[in-house]
Amino acid sequence: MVYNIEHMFDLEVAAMAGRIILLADMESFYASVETARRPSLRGKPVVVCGDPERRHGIVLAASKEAKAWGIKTGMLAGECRSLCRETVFVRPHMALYIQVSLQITDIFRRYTDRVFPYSIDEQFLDMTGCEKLFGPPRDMAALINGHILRETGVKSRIGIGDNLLQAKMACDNFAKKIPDGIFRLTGENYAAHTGPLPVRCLFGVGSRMERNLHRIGVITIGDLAGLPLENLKRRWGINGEVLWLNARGIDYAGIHSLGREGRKGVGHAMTLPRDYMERGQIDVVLLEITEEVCRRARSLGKVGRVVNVYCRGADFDFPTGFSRQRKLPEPTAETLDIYPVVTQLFYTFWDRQPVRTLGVGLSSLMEGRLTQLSLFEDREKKLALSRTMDTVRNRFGATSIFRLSSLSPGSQLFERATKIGGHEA
Amino acid sequence: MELFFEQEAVHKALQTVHKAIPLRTPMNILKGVFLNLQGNQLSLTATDLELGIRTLTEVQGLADGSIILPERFVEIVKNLPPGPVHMRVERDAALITKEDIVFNLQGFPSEEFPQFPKGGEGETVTLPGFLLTEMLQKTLITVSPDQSKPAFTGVNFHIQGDLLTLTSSDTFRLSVIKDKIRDMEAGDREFIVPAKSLRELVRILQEEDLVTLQVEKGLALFSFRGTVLTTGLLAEKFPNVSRVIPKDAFTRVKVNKNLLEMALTRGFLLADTEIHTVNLRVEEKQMILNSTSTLGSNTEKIPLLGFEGEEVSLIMNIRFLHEVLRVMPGGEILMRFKGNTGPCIMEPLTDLDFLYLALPVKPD
Repeated sequence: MVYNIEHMFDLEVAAMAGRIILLADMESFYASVETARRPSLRGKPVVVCGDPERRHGIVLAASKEAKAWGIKTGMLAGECRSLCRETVFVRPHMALYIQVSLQITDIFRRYTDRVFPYSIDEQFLDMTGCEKLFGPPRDMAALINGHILRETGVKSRIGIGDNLLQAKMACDNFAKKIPDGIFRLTGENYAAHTGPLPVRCLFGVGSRMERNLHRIGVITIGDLAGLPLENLKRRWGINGEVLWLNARGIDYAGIHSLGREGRKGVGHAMTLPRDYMERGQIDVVLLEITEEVCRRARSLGKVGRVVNVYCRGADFDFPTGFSRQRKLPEPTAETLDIYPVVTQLFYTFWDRQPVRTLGVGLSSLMEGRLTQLSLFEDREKKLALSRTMDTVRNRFGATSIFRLSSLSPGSQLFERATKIGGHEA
Repeated sequence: MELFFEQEAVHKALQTVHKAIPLRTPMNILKGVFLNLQGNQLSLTATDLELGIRTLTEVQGLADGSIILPERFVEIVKNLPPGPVHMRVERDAALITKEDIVFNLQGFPSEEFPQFPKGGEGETVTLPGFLLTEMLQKTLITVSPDQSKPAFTGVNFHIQGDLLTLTSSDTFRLSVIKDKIRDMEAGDREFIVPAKSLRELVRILQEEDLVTLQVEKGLALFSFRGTVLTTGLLAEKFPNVSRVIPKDAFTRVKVNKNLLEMALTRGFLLADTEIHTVNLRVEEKQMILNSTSTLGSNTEKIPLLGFEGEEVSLIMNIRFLHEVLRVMPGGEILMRFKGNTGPCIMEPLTDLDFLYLALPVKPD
């Protein structure tokens, strides 16, 4: 018997039917958390935003009321003010948001042991086999939404699907847009509901891919699902195949294996509080970022083979910058092995314009249990030094031991130490 | 410039020089071969300003002259049928005629080609091609690919009287090979030649060639059989390696080279990362090799032909043991160890003065 490949996928869809996956998304998460603990803010256009006078003055979250005025995440504080004069600015409290996010995970765990946090405000729940306990999927979702609102004061929306992809699509494109905040997609109704949506609504389609798809006459998700698979594979390889599968509601490898597991690289980027121009000051920050990246790799017990340097220019009107990588001769996670490569890459590609954001990445990670000994340097000593510094920092904090250069102008170490993800803790 | 040349001879000459043509260069004239005819001698030159190769070939000259022809010239000559070919140069273009085949190839004026270094007054050293090739093959395996350590990207030449010592290291391994150069008194000189140039030299050198080496002003010239290879030297100082070679050893064993090589080849079959390691246990009667990866494991036992000292157990990058065996002469080799984290030294049992040293890997 000859199967054609597209029929094979249909069979797979049938096999997967019967699973119940939920994606719960917290509405305006940071803003909701702030409103929940300060009831006086309720009903007001609340914007969570760093110091409006500094670089951190970017909107991290906006309440439903603020969004109604056209305020969006990523805007500058000044822009919000000109859109809505009543805007209430609230400084972020990252430690609190993490705590609430964990609290929500705990609530989910009362319903199922299969909870997969996807981001700080999105979590997947596998509710397969729980119908006897909590009723049909829609009832489960209503129960969970009510529970979260009661315990945290945050409103959640839930997308339901036969797999992670369908749940994500149900949540982003439907549940978020209707008052009761619950929507279910299944293998049977996926095409009918998502088919008419513009192709940019599909998970995995960014603005560039949208342009590419428009160019070949694909306007809706249905158009994409209707194309022959071979056609997309030829144009975009594996990426084209994944989009085609997404358009048909087939989840290839569980939405990219839910991120974290089997990670291939570690990276760290920093938006600077002011524009950097001077070589010495840039060097200090690059060293601090490199140290952080290497520390993370070491804490995972890994060494890396490829170093990446990222830079973004300061001028918004003429966005400049680069991202360049270089292969190392030997895999390593030693700050002082990697730092010279970082500066070499940076000064090769930097256009000498003011710098706003700097980042360093280490990828092609592998197990770092073995150390190749060297004839002309004492590697064991070097490794022992970083291991000791890591231990001291883990126990006494990030600023308990540092390189002398962190006392020179430009250093961000002490300021960053009080923050989470660059925002106020 | 006008001449008749034999396709086979010029094809061979082009094969000698064409690897010196740079892959990428902002200077178009370097992406070609400089031809110069004087009487019946045609010289062909290519250079990337670091490495330069010039070779002479016998032709039937009709009118002296010179031109730079683009790299395509190499392919054109390669694809012509054998036998005499006529070539005439007029206004920076070459008209190449072979029976009914006619090529008109645009070139560049020859005056723009960089000066080729002339061997001058400096002292010279002469040694047979087969010897130089053998010495280079053994040292080129331990050259470092890491451009951030320039001194290690070449082979260190050290001439002391009539003794030539070649040394190279990638900081994890080290090769030292020595030989007497006859009829020569060349004083004491030390310089580092880039590995890239030496690989070209090994490619074009033939066993029966007699090579004259001359060093001056940051340049080395290797001359043989109507061919001259020049290369810039690395302006670096090679570290003193004698202090990292232990004089004594705790363990000395003799082992059959082929058995070891085959065992390591099999150990490689389970490699799943770029750095595959082998656990080496040296006991009184045998050497036990165990390599393990996520794919599984392989164990090999090799009988020892001689054993002195104490038992050791160390982890080595399998490539560091395997690569050198290919260039090790003789059927048996001597291996020395100094404890579980000391180096592993390999030497042939022939009269060749060659030493290879590799450091182990230390587990966490």
